[in-house]
Amino acid sequence: MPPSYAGDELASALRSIVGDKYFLDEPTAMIPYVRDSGIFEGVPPSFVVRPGSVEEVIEVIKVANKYKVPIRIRGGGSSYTAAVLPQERREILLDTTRLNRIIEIDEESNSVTVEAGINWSKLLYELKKRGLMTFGGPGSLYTATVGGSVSCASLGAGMSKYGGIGDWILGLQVVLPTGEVIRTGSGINPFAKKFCRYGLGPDLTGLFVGDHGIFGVKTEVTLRTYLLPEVTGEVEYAFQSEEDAFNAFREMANVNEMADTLRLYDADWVRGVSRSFHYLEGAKSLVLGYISTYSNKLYEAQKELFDAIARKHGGRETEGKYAKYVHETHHDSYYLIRRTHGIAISAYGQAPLGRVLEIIKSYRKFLRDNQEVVKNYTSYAGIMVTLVSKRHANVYLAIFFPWHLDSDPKARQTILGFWDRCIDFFIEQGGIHYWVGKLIGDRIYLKVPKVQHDFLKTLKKALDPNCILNPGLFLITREGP
Amino acid sequence: MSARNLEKYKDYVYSCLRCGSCRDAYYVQENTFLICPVRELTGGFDVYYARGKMMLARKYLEGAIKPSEELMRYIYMCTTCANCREHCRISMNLPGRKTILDQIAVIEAFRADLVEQGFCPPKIKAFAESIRKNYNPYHEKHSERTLWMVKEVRLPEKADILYFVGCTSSYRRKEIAQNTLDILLKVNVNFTISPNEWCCGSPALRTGWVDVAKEMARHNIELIESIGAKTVVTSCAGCYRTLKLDYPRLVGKPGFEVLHTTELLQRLIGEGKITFRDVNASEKMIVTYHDPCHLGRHVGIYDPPREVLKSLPFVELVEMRRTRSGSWCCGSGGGFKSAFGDLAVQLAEERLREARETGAKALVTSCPFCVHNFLDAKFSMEKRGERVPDIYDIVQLVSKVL
Repeated sequence: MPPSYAGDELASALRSIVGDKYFLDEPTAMIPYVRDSGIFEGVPPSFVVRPGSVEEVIEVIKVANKYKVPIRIRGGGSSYTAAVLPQERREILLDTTRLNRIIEIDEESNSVTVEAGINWSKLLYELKKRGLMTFGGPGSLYTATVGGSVSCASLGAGMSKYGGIGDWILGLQVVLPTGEVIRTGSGINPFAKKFCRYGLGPDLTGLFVGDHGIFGVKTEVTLRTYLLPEVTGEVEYAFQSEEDAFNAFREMANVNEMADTLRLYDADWVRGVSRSFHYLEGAKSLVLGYISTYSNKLYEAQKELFDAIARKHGGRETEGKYAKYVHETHHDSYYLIRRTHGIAISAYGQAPLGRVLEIIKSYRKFLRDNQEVVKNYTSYAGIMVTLVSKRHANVYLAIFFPWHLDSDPKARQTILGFWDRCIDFFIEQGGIHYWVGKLIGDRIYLKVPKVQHDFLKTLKKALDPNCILNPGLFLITREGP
Repeated sequence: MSARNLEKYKDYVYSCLRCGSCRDAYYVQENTFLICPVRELTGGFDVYYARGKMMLARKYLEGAIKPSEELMRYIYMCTTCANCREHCRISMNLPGRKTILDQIAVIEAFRADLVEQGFCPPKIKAFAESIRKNYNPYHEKHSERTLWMVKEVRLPEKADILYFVGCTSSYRRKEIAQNTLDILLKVNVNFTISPNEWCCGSPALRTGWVDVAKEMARHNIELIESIGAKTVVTSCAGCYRTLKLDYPRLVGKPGFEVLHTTELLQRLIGEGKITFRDVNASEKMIVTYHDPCHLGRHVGIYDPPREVLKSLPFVELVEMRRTRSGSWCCGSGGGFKSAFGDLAVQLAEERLREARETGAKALVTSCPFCVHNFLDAKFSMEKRGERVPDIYDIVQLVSKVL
């Protein structure tokens, strides 16, 4: 056995669980784990392990409990709200990406069960080969894992029709912070297939969706599958005012059956886009949709409805090149926008459909109030609103921290302060973030009633008495809040 | 602590999103499956693929980490195959787009800084010293550079075309030089070969020995100019990339055209200057083509070798699963074979298994460095009883039917 840099019993125990190849404790090699895709910087872990089975995950957790050393769980590591960054010097970083197999594509149950560390692009490719689909993956689908998306409660492709990842989950397998393994959904019944989520008492799945790993390590995820739609196409309507576009968007949302994506872009966004898509010059707002269904008749029926609503509100159907581009590059949108603008500042979340226009206007006021920072430290693309689950909206303030400023500590400090204000602002507007991590989670739990935080802590204490898994998130620390 | 080389690429370092598409973006294109060969071969930790290396570069630039044996090991654990750069969702180095992240440039600059501070794997240091002393990385005598020319051939001192043989074909894979020479003689072009050719400098440049590479470049350019060659042809993908892309930035734009043998062959076949003899059924062969990283992803030469292969009357070309821009590295580039020989052979073994899956009788490539490593892998696989396709450089197949 090679010598351990940490040179202690814990290192030996971890090494013997995952084997030499998948254990690391050399200090230089820990450096890359201090950052995710965002601005915030954690500390290097002391150990990194890459377990290859549920049994190895269980053993790592047991050892961590024995030595009372925290575990930081990381999937693809492509998020940017610091949930996967070690907060304490002596942490074990548990990388789940070796748990990457498709366990079963069950066409009888219309489901797919995967190991939680599988990459979305791999899963979607394998399903597509069989003419099937599931949740379209988050923006970072080439790099994100399914388990990571569950932990983050991801929204993503197809959310206008189907909702976010939570709406696709039929059940989970989770290793609890004390090492026991449980299932949720119909998988609880050892005689049943993993085909439905409810019917066995409380919805335990919900406990782990968006928990950022504080309640357990997800090792298996069962998702719904559907047949891949055979008829697809884009619609795009330009409007002369944001009000008109918003009214049309809201009406379209109410009759949406088949648009995977239904989206509204504000004037700033359209102005930027029109530099490449000249036919959009002069438009003040844009609504686009991506319709997918199983017959031409259904497609046409949906399009007719959208066309009529757009006309009613003064919209004109365009040549649709931007909608086509958005659709064709939707797998790359997360990366393309960052390529252009820089590091994302997660200033967005969900809001009631009826309040979208009001929130857009408030956001603009917020940006004006912070114009010094906005001008000197950000790159701003505009506001994009996407329908979620046919009933509410995700309002995306596309604001970024340019790459070249990331080497300036003062600029980083300034932008982190601005980000906090952005988060607070959105919370106070009644908006709901979905992907919170550490940076947003902390702000939320400073503002919600104490009883809510106490309840979360009680749950955490019951499940994780040693506060082993992902301490520090949601203001739950090992020493208490 | 100096970071003078890395400083030049600071913008690249800071533009890494750390999204991980250099780790395991599957099926970005149909030909892509996994990204980093070193990551797949090792424990797969961040330091073994580009995301982690970019973070090390960043912390090095910020003075948070110092040169060390460990740091050196991580930075040299890379074949510079450029699959990460090819599939980086941030760099997206598509035609007409500004390059905003070039992982290979960062790694080479990082290595140059480490070398300047005395950190370099011993075997790489030794070959760099051999390049300076013997003008080849193999510790061979310069006077024996043309010993591969077993035939009595009289070549002119001045010519339109210089065949730049390269060190690997001169000393290790002589059959490639011999076959290339045969072809050039048969097609009757005005060419020559020079015993005064020095190493192109590629092994030095890829591993941080920039001054050595510059010295080689200056000499070779003078030599080429003294011969009066308008065109330099090379059968080595490493020489090709270096002459074509690196010489202009190292010592200024040379006044000659650089062609890979596959480009020259494609041109001559297209002009009807090469015709092939008839073949009988027993000569028919299914082959698969391996894209050398330095020819494919580094310079974008994918079609000429395929066109040449398709024109051969006895060849049926089948593709491997990972091909063209998604091709899996053979493992020999970027000093990797010198510093991590066993791992390099393991990578070549994986590629040979992929070739075997196609049902091809032979794997054909267009780089003596790849051929060399594949032959090492074939040897070790056959010792274990595995069936392995034959290995050829493309010139060996062309030469068969001239």
